[in-house]
Amino acid sequence: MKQLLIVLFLSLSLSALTQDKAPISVRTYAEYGYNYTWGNYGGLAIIGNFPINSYFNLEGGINTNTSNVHAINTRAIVHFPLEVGDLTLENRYLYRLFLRNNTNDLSAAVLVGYTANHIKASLGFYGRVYGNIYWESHNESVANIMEPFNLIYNIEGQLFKQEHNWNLGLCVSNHDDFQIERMYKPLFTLRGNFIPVEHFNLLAEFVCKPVGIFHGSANFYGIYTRLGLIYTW
Amino acid sequence: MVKKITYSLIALVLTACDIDWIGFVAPTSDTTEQRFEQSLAWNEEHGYVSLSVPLDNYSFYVGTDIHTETTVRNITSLITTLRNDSNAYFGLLTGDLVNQPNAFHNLMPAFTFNPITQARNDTLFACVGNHDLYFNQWEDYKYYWGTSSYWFDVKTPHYQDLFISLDTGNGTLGSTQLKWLRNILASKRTNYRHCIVYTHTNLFKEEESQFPTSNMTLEETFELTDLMSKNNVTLFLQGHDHNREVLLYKNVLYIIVDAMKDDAKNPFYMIATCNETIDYKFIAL
Repeated sequence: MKQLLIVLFLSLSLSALTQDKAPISVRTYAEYGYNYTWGNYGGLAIIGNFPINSYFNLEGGINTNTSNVHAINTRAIVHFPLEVGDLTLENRYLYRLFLRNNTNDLSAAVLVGYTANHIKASLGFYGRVYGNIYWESHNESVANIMEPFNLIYNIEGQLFKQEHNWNLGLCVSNHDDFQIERMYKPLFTLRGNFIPVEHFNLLAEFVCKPVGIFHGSANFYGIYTRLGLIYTW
Repeated sequence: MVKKITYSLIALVLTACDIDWIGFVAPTSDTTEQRFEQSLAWNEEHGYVSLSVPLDNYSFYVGTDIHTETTVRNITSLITTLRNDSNAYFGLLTGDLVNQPNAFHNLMPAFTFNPITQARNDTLFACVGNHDLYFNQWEDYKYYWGTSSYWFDVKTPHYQDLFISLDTGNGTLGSTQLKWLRNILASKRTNYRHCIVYTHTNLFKEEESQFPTSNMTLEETFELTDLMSKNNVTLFLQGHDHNREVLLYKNVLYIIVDAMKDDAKNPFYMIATCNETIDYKFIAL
């Protein structure tokens, strides 16, 4: 029985690895932002996407900013192509170092996503743990705080179909490449892209982060903008 | 979770007349930054309070989320008990004083000294909560309380303690209030035995007790908790969540006090006593 399972696993793996796969791509961008806590800040990010086959890809990225906050994000995404769009299952881990606050946080998420002509949407759950980077306390203080259950969501409408050589999208989400906010902290994003020549895709994003919406007393908190490109081999 | 969302949506519809729907897209009163400027201007004009108490180990009362509509039963009980407690000298109210338009006019008579039932006229200090901002009620709050961002100190025979009130009615301190808080802590903290900070919006989100009301952003949560630890703040008091939470994190004691509104299932207030440390107990209403 064990041998049969091994043979089955190997044959599935081999068949997966020999599938046609999408090319590797690298996304990089610079960001400028302002929020009430950090003031003005700038940042850089680079994210690599590595398709294993046409059904499965891995993504990894790093981000650093002038507020002394740094992040690593990883994603594993399984695609289930349907006639009416692409269904995905994603497992995501985000680790951030808030060196300015002697705090780090780790979030783990599982999301189900759907992409069709003009729509991208995803919904899932995540948990978070955060605490001191350097633990110096000698009393009964807790070292880490758990936020065990949270919703993670994203819904985006786009002007043209996904394959169009330029596009504009409006998005409501509580996460992006390097942050996963609490479920009641939506980020509002205006996003655009343009493919000037083969291999290159230029990107621009403008994000507004309000607070207090679910308090019933909304207020400005922060904005950030990102400019960059995707290079696809 | 689905049940919780359903109940929350039903509750939202049932209490719709108490909700200022504008607040889902824009501030319902002045913005955080505007209110802070107004609070500072009021402080400049009226000065900062300094209380003298005859005991080193004095007590103070803490109440939150009164959500006054027409009745003032629980807050009257807190005030009367405080003013007859020979060891307590003042009270703190950490926001959501009212629940509907014009309710400040129903609430405020409860603070009037009653010499028949009360031994002393102890002061109560307050900060603003999100419900106090609905329907532009910041104007009413300002009329009665003047300021939501301020500090006062308490002088005992051998020590002095610092109390700082923060306006987080929108779920953020804003930029200028954060700078002000940093300056106050940097310039004053070392002169005091205890430092107690109180505000409305809770910092942590360990469970979904009052889904879906929100708290602060993660950036602000991490910034504030680090600032409190670096400045050796003794106690950080919050409301908003309606459910008690006691957490010692990075050597700072964070307490969310239960709601004390008249129709709460289990209304409580808290009595804190300043000794070498701060002791606390919760009193059922």
